[in-house]
Amino acid sequence: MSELSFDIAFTIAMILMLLGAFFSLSAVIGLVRFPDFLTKIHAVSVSDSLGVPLILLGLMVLSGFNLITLKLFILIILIFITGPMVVMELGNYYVTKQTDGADDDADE
Amino acid sequence: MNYIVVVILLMIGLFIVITSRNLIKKIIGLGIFQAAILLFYISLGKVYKAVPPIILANDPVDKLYSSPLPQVLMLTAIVVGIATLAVAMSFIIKINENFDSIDEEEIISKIKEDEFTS
Amino acid sequence: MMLMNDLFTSFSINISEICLENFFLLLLVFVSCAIAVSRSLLKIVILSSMFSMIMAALYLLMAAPDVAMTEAAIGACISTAFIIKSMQATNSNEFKQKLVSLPNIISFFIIIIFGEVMIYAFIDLPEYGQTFSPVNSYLSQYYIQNTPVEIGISSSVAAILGSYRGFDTLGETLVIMVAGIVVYFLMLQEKKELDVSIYKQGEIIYQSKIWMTDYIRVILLPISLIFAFYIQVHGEISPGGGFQAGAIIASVYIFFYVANNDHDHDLSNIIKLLFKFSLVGFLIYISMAIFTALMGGYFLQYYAITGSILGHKIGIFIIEIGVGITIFSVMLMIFLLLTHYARNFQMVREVK
Repeated sequence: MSELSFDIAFTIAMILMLLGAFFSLSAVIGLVRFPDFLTKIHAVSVSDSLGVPLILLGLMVLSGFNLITLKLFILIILIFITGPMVVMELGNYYVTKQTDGADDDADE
Repeated sequence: MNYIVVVILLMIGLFIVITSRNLIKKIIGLGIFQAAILLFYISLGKVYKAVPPIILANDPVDKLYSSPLPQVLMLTAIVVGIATLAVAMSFIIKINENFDSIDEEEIISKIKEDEFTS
Repeated sequence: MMLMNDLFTSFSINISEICLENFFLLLLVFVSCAIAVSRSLLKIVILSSMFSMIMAALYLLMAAPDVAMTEAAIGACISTAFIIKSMQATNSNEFKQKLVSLPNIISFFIIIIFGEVMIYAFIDLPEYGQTFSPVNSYLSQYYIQNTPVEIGISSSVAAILGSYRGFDTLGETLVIMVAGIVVYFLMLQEKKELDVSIYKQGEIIYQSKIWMTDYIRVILLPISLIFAFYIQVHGEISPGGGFQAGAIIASVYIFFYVANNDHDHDLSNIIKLLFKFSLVGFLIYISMAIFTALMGGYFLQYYAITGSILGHKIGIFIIEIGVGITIFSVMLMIFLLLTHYARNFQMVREVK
């Protein structure tokens, strides 16, 4: 019976981590292939909101009820808070910059 | 494999220090050199199937720990490295204030042209 | 951190561990090649921050969590902040560089010869990961076996740092304090009048009305500070200690100042306060050492504090606090000095 529960937890964790890896990959592909600065950072924000938290969720499922689970949960909250904020600040800076030559370091 | 990568990183770091014209890039190359040395020391102390050297009361007698001595030395090295980086950055800013550029060849040509008395 | 020990126990020599480590090492080589070739300082800074993060992951794979935490906090956060502020203070991003020129090719060949000599010397090293290599045999075994007996704390890294090699840590704290003093006296100056016809002072080109960053800063600050204090205090029984905690507190405050939208704040007062703080941190260390000498032992012999092993715990705890205060104040002071300079003295050349 314990082996069966171990298998279910393992499978769920693997599915979550594979989903997280897929979203991170899509974020990187979007970063490379989108034409403009604003669309690029929009693609990157997917990695911060879905990619990394899904992988960490998979690790939480894999480690059971531990202190480690609580620490991973705090990590997910921190990444949720700071990731999209950075993307928003980048976009806001790009839109409201008032010097000429605003396309200097726009791409890459 | 670790040691080969250490040698390659040493070479790349030295290459950046020798052949770059920008002063800030030189300092970053020095940082790469230093990071390679840290990697070398810590990979000397690694033992397969070993845990970090934190010794708890209820451990079996023959538990394998990785060596703590290189870790302590490298802890010191990291912090000293960033102190050196900070002082180097302040020197670069002062050089920029005097010569108006941080390009190595421009600075040398400016020194050769005028007579700098400050 | 008993649970981390359990996690590491289940590691065996399996293929995935070796593959992961080799993958990270190859990634390191690629990133440093990209740094060598690139021509834009912004790219180089971001690549060097990525380099430090990969190094931190590698140190964790080699079972060195103290070094990994220090490298992640200092290499990835603080050195990147320093270099970006220096870039702002010198107003430089792109630079010309010819990669293939005669001096470069000569130095390339000299470096290849240097690399060959080093590989020839590295062949004699013991195999990677051996249990009985000379590094792991003599002094490391002594430290591992005698730390619970002579000093009584769990983390042998903190025991070596604080007690067995306490003089090294004293010198290192002194080095950091001296670096802070040097940058302080170089960078702190009063505003001077410039020749206004050609140059103008760096002006504020971006004033944002976003309030969300203020909310997020206020939420994140206490959580990160509590975690940093936890790391500081638990330095004796888990990976941690003064260095990591000081670096984390400094990076929290750096984040606070980077996400700041109020550019008229004068930083000189805070800089002078932090200067005094760094001296206080070093003084705590030295006072501990002199106190042990006054209690009848040698200089830095913690045994003399209470005449038993408990003295070691007390001694290491107090000097870690001193080290943490010094590192926090020096790192933050250097960052604020660079910011102060970049705000007030950066010359913006008028484009004709």
